[in-house]
Amino acid sequence: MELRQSEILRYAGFRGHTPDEAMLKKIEQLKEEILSSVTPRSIFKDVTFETFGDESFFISGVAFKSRKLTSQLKTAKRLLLFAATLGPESDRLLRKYSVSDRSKYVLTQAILTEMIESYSNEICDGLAEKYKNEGLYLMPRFSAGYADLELTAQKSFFELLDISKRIGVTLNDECLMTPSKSVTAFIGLGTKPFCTKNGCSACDKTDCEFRRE
Amino acid sequence: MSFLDKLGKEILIFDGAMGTVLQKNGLLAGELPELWCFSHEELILNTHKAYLEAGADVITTNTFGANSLKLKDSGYTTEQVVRQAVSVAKKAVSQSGREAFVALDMGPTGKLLEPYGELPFEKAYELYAEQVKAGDEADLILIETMGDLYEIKAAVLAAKENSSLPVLVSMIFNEDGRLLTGADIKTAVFTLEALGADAIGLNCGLGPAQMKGFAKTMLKYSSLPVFVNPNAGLPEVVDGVTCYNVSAEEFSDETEKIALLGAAGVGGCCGTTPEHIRQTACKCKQIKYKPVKEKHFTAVTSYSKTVLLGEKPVIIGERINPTGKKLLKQALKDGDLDFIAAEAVKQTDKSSDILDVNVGLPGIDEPHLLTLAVKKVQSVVDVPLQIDSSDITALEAALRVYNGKPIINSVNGKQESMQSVFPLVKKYGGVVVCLTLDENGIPETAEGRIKIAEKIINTAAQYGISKDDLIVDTLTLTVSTGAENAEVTLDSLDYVRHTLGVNTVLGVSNVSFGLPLRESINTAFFTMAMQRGLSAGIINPLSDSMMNAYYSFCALSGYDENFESYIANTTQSQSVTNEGDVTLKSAIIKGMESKAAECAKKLLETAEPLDIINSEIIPALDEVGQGFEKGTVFLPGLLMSADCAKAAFDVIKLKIKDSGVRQQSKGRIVIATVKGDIHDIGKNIVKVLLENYGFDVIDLGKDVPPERILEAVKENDIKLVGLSALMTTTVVHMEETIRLLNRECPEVKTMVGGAVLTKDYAENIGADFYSKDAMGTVRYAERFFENK
Repeated sequence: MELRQSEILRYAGFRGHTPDEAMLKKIEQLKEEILSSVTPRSIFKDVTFETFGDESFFISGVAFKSRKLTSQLKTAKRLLLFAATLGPESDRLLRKYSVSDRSKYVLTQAILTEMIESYSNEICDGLAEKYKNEGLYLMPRFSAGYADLELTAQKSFFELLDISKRIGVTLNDECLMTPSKSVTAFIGLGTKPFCTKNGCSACDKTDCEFRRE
Repeated sequence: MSFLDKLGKEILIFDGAMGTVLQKNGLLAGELPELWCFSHEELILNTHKAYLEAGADVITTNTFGANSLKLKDSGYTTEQVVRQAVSVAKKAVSQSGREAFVALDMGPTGKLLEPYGELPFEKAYELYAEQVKAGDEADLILIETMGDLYEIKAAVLAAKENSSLPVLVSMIFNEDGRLLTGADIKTAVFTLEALGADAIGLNCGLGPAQMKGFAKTMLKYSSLPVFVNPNAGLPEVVDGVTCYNVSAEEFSDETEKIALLGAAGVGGCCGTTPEHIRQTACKCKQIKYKPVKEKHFTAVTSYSKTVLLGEKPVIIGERINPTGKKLLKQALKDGDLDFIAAEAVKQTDKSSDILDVNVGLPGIDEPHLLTLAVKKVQSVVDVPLQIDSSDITALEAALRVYNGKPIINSVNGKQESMQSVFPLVKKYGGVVVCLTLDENGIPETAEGRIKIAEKIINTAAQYGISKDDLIVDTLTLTVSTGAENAEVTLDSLDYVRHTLGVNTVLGVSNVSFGLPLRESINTAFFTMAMQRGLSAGIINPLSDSMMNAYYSFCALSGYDENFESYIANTTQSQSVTNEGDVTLKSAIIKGMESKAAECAKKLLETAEPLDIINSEIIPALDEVGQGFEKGTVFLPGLLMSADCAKAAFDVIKLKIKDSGVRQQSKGRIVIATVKGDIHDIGKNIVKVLLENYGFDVIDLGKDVPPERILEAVKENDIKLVGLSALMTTTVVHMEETIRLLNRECPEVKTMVGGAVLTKDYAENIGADFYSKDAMGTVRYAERFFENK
């Protein structure tokens, strides 16, 4: 798996600066430890859906409400439900460094964040390749909590994909996921390549410390 | 005939899927299948009957998720659902006219247990206990599709303590042969045998072809009957519907092969149908079952891995033990579990295979503290633990919450000791340290100690504890009080290991007590003991000379191929790199942790503790802090310096403790991540920095309800509270907390931080200060307490 150094440094708070050699070595050692002990897993399910008006859509009778996602889905043929996690060992590493070495704690946090992102991209790239043969294109990942899709949508999403049983991610009462390094997303399957702004440029919070230029 | 009369005597046929059958009949995603025992009783009854007619000897109740968490909003209680499901299954058996058994089915709770998730072990136990009690009409309990050893332990204890039915445990392994929480098959086998399961198995996740290899591994290690219930292949999604595509014929060809490997039971899981089971029964019932052979391993396990004793000697880290350690004593009195956790990490970084955990101090609530310490340590390291206490209540409390098969330290030859410790070993499982002393003290001769070892081994057998689960400690006595002491210890050790065939353990360092250059004697004695048959040494793994002796021994004894371990681990006395004159201040600024502690030690020879803090540490922290604020130092660098300052403080604290001078606190602050939120990195960083700057921090952790924060504020007379929240959805709880504090303790100020917060937002929810980073919090706290 390719981990983008620039992203790791951004998450760790280097604010565009290059760390010194000792720090870079530390990062390399941590990457090695993490890659050898963390096992990422993912699942997806290819489903049909029906939109209902401008702000809802249904999957197997289960409703989801979001004007933004519903509008995206207007041009989609089907939908992928996607979930990925770095598993419980990633949280143990964080616990370990939170008590024993605080700089490694922050660096581990940064590496894991990049790892789940990069892993999800890798899996989705594979899916994109597969669906291209069918003439379908993946839309950007759209997760509960984005824009006007409430975080509580996670509950139904988890049931539809049987996430807890299959990759061991669970929800707390506030719909936050454990292990912490986990991702779920709706991915529309459209008939044309999807092109829109996404990532930082799609976000309204312009004063964010971690915003990419 | 009872189920146990048949288990492990012939090949038993288990039933197939229930869930996927219900889905075919219209069960929707999110609907609770367990409730169909009421709404679709006929369908459930007929499904059971179809499996019985197909030849199943064991049918499982439709109760996979029938726990109070999942049934919360269903309108039914666990008791109602379980009783109904068991009665439907029993009806099916009686109508079928077959002799078959009803298994009370229990699956995962659906929540991850602490420390991975939020469900406390004790709560998981209660959830299972409810199901067990309601299922008392069943013939056996089947705990299945389990992916976490800790959750399995909660379920098995609940089953054993609330019923006398046989308990079978079946697990779901990933393609890589590991459980969700990391245990490999071998580790799962040893842990479940220790817990007293009657049979163990594999189910779900994989098809029979993929499961065959795993079954073989399980049979290699298990002394218990093994049963295997695969899916009808791997799930495939076609048009949004999950399908399992292995045909009944193909499925039964594979299950037949699994039965030939030695499985005591076969059946099916997701996607299997009565036809899969019928063909499986046809083929497997003809096979003559060969009963499983007893295996002989001395194994201890953590949540994820196994350490075998009796091969290469292993290292048990001794440092979590307050005897002679002032800082640890203080940490225990303060309930500072992070200190203990850090001590654990240090020892595993130095390749300890197992860690001893002892928190015995006069006047301390040992059962409570030992439980917390075990929970904390096992949440940060992945090695097995040796639970060490002379307080039998503490021992039991800790054994209960331990995740794996531990070493239990210890039993001795006194009747009273054996009578109280062996029942715990039997119940919770473990390898127990046997001290060769009894009512008459420690025998002076090797023969005397061997006699006690034999007595302990024989008594253990009466409790059903095999000698595989014993490690004998022939007791290290101080050589300075008797020159023959070492020889007696080693002679008896040699005999126990090679003649009695029982593994051995020694605490090593006692041998040199009262002598100069103790390490020199210790390493020699340690090497001699390994040569005579020591299976495990309880030593200080931070001692380079002890570890070098260990690596040298392993290299010379053929335990270290190509001397890899020796070359990788042996440390020479650190070559002094020319770093010029390092002062404490520069060590902290540069983030050189070991140097910082060293410099602090040196300075203490000539300077007063408080002077060192004021003239070296604080200026260093200030310089780094200002660099951070200016953007020339970055978060990881800031924290490296913070850890260095902490290392120096630890050294200085010791001295201050000795001198009796009380260190002035700059003020006490409560910090917490608010209710519902589990993101605590920001809060943890703030804590480290505040402590560095001399504040006392009461850290309430994450997901903390407003009431608990208020309680802590009142209890400790707190004037400043720091709150963190990462999500828009949890900021509401931050607001709620501030409102509560304003109402109940209007004089208390709040400072807040977190990714979604802004200055305006913070003002809106009534916070007194918004901090954009950790240093901001320090500066505000400084201003706050200066003005007071």
